[in-house]
Amino acid sequence: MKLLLSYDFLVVAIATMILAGSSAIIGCFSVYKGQSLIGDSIGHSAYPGIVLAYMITFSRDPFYLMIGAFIFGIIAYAVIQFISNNSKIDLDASLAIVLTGFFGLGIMLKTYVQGNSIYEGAVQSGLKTYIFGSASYIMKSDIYIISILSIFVLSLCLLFYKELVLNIFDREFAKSIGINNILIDIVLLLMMIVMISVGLKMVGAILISSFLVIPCIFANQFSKNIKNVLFIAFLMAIFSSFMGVYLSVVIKGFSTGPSIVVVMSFLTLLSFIFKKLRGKNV
Amino acid sequence: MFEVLLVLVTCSMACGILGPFITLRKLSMITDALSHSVLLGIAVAFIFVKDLNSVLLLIGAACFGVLTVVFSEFLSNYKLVKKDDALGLVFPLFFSIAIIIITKYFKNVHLDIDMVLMGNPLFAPFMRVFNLPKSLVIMATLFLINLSFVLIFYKILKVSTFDEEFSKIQGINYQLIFYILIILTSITSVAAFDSVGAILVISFFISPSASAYLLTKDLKYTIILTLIIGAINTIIGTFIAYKYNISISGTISFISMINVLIAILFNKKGLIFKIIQKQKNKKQFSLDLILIHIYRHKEDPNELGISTIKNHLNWSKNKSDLFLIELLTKNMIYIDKKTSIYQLSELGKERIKELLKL
Repeated sequence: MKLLLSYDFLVVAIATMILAGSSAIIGCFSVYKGQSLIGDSIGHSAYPGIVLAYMITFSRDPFYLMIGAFIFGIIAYAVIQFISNNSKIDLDASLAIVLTGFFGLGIMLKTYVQGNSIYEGAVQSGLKTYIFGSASYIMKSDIYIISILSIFVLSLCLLFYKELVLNIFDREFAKSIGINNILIDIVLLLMMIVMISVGLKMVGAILISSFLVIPCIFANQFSKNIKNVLFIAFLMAIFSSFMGVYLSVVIKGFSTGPSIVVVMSFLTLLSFIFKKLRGKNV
Repeated sequence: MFEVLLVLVTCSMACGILGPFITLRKLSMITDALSHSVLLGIAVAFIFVKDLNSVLLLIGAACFGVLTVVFSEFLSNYKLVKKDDALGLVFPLFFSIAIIIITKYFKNVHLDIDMVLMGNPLFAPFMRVFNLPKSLVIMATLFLINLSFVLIFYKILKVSTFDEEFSKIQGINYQLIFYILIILTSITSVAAFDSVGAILVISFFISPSASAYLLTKDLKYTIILTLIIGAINTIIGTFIAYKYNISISGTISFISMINVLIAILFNKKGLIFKIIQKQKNKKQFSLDLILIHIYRHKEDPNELGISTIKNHLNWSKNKSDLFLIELLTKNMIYIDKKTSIYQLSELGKERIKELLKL
């Protein structure tokens, strides 16, 4: 109990819960659009943006690094679209190509920074945490950034809720009542990239996509109604991140991001069993 | 350095030979999932054998590779989740457990998570068997195994890659071939891990085969080209990495992506070619338009006058001059000196006949 009220724990827990909750909401929309693997690809591809932002600004200010990640997320998405629209290569393969190419670029830049005397003065130890994420490095300033962006993204969702739902489930109808589908696509994509860039520091480039995908899969086992799905996914994400952070604090050596993902996946596996059992009873 | 390069090229070839089948079967993201989730296999096997050089690590990794695929197929077959989402659920779980095990229990072992992702090819020559780098021997063996798999089952692989339904009718055991492919992919990626890291493994599997696929239609040539392109990417990447003293794996992955982009721009049906073709068509259309204009308004001094024709075509002076000069040099039209109007020459008339199907 004493632990639960300690400052460090609260900072980390609040930050991850806000992040996971809003990622879950955005994630539901992306999963329904069939973009679950795009999140993974963009998550990896945003990494060079972080290193480049560091190289330009000489600081590890999370805000600059986030902007870098955001810009590279957009570039990566553009390249994915370029490849799959202008050649016979499948979306699937273009995701893998962009993922490895961009992440490779990130590692190139990172090793360049390490070997370069210009950067000797600046602190660079934090760059690695963006690959696997490290919630224990979260500071108050990170919470501000996360909260502001999450509230911004969530209010966008609320504001365009009807448009988003129609855009995903019935594009033609949406078009006929005058909704600009392309604009909505872009807004949704930008929101996804924002959540990825914000989340990189905490959960890392590799696991960020599971924050988007898993809560939606979980919620889908319980309801077919979009409002309920969003609500369940939101609650599940918040609960899992609390549990994950708690586990990582209680058990020494447990990294936060992976712990959260394990809790999430575990709950989801339970939800499958729940669904099967319920299916038999009915 | 030569030995490092040799190890890398062998890796690229061992992966590359399976690459086209993976890319064409739309399994690309499965390699991404595999290369992350086999880490759990390595970690679990390591708990039991406590030896990083044991063959059991390879077997453990291959088991978890297959398990990832079986598990996600199972989830999607039971209609619990969509196929993509199933992958997105399974591999983060395995990867997370692996990271937890590694960070918690093997703090002092070479099994570093950074290492697993990026590898370090420079260390490859230090471990030796038969006076050769150990990873070279392993990768060469795997190359031969993969090569013989492809050679022996070439026909079946080809049919089942391009026409799943037909192969089922033919009684080809689609599932069996699929799982052998997956097992070989997992084993190869695990073996390649140690020297090149997870990210480059995915790149080796997918990027060269994507480039090759753009350049040729024939499956045989696709495979051969994949091997060549993979080797070229590796050599270029390694030299650049040496020159600037940066990560070899990262550089090769990046170069491979650039290679695909170049292939998209410059292949026979590529983007650049399409743009050039479009420009050509546009120009031909303008030239034909002038010819038809002249044909329709036979000898009308107003419509065809040297200085007035541009108004009737409704073009700028530059544009009409450009195309008129082109037609004049091609001898399709000539200027009638007396009336100073444009007239069709014999060549021009022939073109008109072609155009209007007279």
